[in-house]
Amino acid sequence: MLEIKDLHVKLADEDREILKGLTLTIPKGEVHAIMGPNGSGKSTLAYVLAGRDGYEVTSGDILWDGESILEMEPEERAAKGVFLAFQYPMEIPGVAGFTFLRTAVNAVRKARGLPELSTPDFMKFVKAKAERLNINTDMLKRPVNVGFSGGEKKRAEILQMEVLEPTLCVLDETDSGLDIDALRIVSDGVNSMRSPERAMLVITHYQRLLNHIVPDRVHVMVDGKIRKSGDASLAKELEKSGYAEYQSKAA
Amino acid sequence: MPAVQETIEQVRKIDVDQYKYGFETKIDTVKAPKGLSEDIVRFISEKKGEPAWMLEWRLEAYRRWVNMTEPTWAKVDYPKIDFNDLYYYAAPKSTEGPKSLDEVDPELLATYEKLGIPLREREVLAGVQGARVAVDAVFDSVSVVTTFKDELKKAGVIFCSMSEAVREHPELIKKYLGSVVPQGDNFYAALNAAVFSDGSFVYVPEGVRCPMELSTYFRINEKQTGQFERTLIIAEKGSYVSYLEGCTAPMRDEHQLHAAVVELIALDDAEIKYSTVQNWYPGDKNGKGGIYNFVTKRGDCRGDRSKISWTQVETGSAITWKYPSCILRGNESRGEFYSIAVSNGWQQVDSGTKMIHLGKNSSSRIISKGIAAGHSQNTYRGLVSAHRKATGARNFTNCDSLLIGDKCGAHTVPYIEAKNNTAHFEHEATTSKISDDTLFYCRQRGLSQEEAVALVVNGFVRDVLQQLPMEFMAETQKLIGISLEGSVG
Amino acid sequence: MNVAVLKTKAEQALSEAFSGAAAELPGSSEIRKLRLDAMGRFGALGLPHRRVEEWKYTDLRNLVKEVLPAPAASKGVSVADIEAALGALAGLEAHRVVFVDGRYEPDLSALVANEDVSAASLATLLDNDTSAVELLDVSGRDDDAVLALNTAYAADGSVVDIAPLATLDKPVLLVFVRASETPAFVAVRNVLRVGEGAIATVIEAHVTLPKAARDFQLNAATKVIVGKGAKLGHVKVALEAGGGVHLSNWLTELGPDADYAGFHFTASTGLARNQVAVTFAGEDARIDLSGAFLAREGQHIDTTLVVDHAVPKCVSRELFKGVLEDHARGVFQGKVIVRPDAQKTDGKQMAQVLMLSPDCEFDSKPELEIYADDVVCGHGSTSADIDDDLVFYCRSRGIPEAEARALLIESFIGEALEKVEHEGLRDALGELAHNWLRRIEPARSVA
Repeated sequence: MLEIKDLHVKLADEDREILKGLTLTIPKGEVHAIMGPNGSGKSTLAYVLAGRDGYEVTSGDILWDGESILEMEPEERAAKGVFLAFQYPMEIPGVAGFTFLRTAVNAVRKARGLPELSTPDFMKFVKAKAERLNINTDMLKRPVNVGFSGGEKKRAEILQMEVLEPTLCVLDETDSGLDIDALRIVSDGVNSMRSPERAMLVITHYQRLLNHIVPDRVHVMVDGKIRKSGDASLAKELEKSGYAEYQSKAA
Repeated sequence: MPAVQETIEQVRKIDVDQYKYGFETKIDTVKAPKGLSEDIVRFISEKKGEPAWMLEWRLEAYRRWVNMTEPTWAKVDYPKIDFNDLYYYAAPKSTEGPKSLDEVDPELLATYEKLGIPLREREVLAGVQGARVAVDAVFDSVSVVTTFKDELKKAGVIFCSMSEAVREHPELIKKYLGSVVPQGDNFYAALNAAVFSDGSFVYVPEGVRCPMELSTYFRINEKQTGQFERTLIIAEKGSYVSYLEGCTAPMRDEHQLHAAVVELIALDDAEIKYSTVQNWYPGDKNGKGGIYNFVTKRGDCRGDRSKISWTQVETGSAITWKYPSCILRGNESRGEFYSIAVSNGWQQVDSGTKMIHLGKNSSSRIISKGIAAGHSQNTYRGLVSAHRKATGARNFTNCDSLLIGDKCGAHTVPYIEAKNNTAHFEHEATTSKISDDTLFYCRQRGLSQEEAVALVVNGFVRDVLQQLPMEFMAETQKLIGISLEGSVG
Repeated sequence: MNVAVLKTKAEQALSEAFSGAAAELPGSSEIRKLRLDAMGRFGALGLPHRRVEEWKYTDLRNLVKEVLPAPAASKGVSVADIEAALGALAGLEAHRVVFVDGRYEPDLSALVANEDVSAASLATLLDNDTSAVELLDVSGRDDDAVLALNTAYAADGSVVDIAPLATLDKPVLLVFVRASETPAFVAVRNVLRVGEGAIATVIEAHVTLPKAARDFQLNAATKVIVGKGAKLGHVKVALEAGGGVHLSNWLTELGPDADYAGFHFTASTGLARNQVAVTFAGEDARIDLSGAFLAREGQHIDTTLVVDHAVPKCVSRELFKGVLEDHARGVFQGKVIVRPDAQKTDGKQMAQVLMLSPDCEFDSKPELEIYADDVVCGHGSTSADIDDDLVFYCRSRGIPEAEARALLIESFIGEALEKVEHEGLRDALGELAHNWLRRIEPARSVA
């Protein structure tokens, strides 16, 4: 279970608070969506969950499986099952996708006390995962994300997610810049990974993605705080009414 | 490739002979005797009624200069200059003593009108453009008039000639003159410090946003005369000023020397924007005559978060030797250099910038566009350096060169020195010609060869053109067209 | 530049030592005269210093204070010693030609001379062949003091001839072993002549025996002539593992339609200067110059390239990657000249450096000198620390920080190594880079 308790976060080198007492609980087996306007702090939450530098947690806590992850390095969190699908996945020239994923899978397996996979075993493992997602592994022969279209990048993120077998998936604006086919591949991937062992947090600006990934709970985030929570119908409501109501409340 | 061949022919035909500012103004002048010596330095200082400390400063510079040698590292080639065969001071007779616009010799006013520089404030106000620009007009060695002084005074801005500043604001001159470009900085800067005759002085007090564009218009008229102006701009904390200079000279068979010094000082949070449209006489189609433009320009971002931006459009001069630079001393200070250098005929340009990063998180940006045609040589030379303590320094440099014709040369000589690992430097440069395909595409859409070249060239320099004050953009665009082709636009 | 300066101790020593050494050096009277002229030029030029534009960032006058003596004859070097010193390169199947402290060692070499390839000792040729004077001649490069010293002092080296139309089955590996237990000065001159239409790979490997002195001075020059339509892969691997001075000069001339891929791999050398000068003598030729330099502690690695497009329709590509740690210093100077008639030239150059410590320094001077209009030329230079966002991305995928950094650095260098066409060699260089990054160094003396 993910428990975020009264989380206050500011930028490390600026006195600007971005998350202002955010509280959120996601039990395993559930998919929650966070919706909010630009600048509400959605991406900051994603980065803080993954442990990116540049943010300072001034108070509050984040527990995953009952254990605080705030002091953990990003790779420790990954080993604990935290996966962030980036809004803008990084391009890594010169590193083939296979090399990157194999290094990551074996680092995570090592940390989880599992034996490392040999190269042939790894190839088999990845091919099976990719087939399940209907993704062509040819993209893994190219350097990570280099020259990928927006859709290809998102697909590569979903494939990485599938391969690293996380237990907490955070998807940051995964729908931005996707055409309908790419959107389907991404949401099919996410849906197929739904399991009682896994908690998922889908961050999005638009309701569109939630037609494909139907969440158990929807939270409205404005100005660094959850302003309202509800079931999937809340997303539809927001599509009509927008965020104005919450923004005026926040101001 | 017939398309390109035609272009070359065209450009060859329309060479620099159409310089339209090449007329001479007939006017009585007072000159110093030919040559350079301590006595000449004293003569100039006395003519200007300077205090003893100013004379001492000049003599110190002269003594240093005598022991210096001319720099030879630039990619320019010219016969040795006989520094004793020049006049170091020339002034229109009528402008000696105090002056108001009404007392200015009508010949002079006519000259500036012909050059398109309105000096009468009411005319400026009535002007169709509606743009208000205060002008300091420098004719040979002296400033003839400065407009809008009263209005600027109300805002607390001092805008006057250097001569006047030495008399009226000695405390500022003593404090800042030579503090960015010291007397012995280089051969030409030392020469300038010894014999500088006039130039502009700008002081913007704390927190003041200068209410209008300031500009100086330099005109060399007299024969065998060197022009040595000196400009000093001080922007106090949180102030802003935008300044533009323009330059022209008559067509003459001999070469004339122009060795100016510009010093800019920006204190905390201040911003100085300095634009130059340099159109000195470039010489004729055989390379005869033209100005030797040997200029030292340097800005000191002395305060934190200060910003200095140089924009230059260099179309004139037989030889240009000029590197407007920024010393990024303040933390988070910023330096910019935007340059268009067009060379045609037998012109030689060796120009660029230095960005010296000393302050933490200082940043700089260099965009240089060189266009070489005819028999000209066009060199970008630049230095970007980050001191050990300049952590977080950032630079982005882009130098592009365009060649028109196969008798010219375009060269890029960057020096990039990173002395700490948090400095992030990126440099890129390209050299190419206008592609036949592009020209063909334009022509297929109905443009003439000439228009197509102008279109492509204007696209090529657009990033820099946009940095110029609005009022000068259109004119500059035209000037570039004329420098390359004549009647385009 | 033309300021008369007093000679430094090192300059005097080099001039004085020559009169003693001259008698020992191989060559006829004609060659002696050539050496004497070269020494005269050196005497006039002196060691290059920072006021000489090409040496602005590598001030030899300041860095070389003393001149080391010639090496004492080393004995007892075995094939096994050489295998060990070659490390990752030992497994390479090659025609091996071995030099110990600059002297040819036929017993340690394994060259099957046949009609396709021959490798002769320069010393032997200089003594016996009257036409050998051209092997030492470097006319047109009279302004290079280091090259002048090489001409004056070169005692031996390899003269490799590859027959026209030959395709070598395996590379020629010239091994230069440093064995002298006392600090020594060695000058080597190689000549590579690739006949028309031939295809070959030649590797120069500079390695060190564990007991060799830390200090050394090497002045190596290689003249390369690539014939019409020939293809040469030319790789130098400098792994001297010491605090010495490695000065290298490649002078390459390409015939029409020739294809030349030059590569410099330099790691762990106190002071290295890799100069490459390429002249295109015929149209439609192509060069690909690239390299990787890895420096830490106070090491200083300088790459200086001059690519002279003297004829039309040639292509040049340059890609150099550097990694700097501690207070190491990297220098890159790359000049591309396009002469007035060299239309349709296509030249691109890139230098990229990762600066991993606050105290390292990178000086870059990519230069274009272009006198023809129908060209496409460009250069780029970047220097920065590893991108934190990339490191975070890897870590968020579970890769520990140290591993993430190593992965990113290796892939960064890997882009340059990709340029090495010979697969076995490319893998060996990858291993050398991998070991260097993890500070796994071959055994060496702790002197």
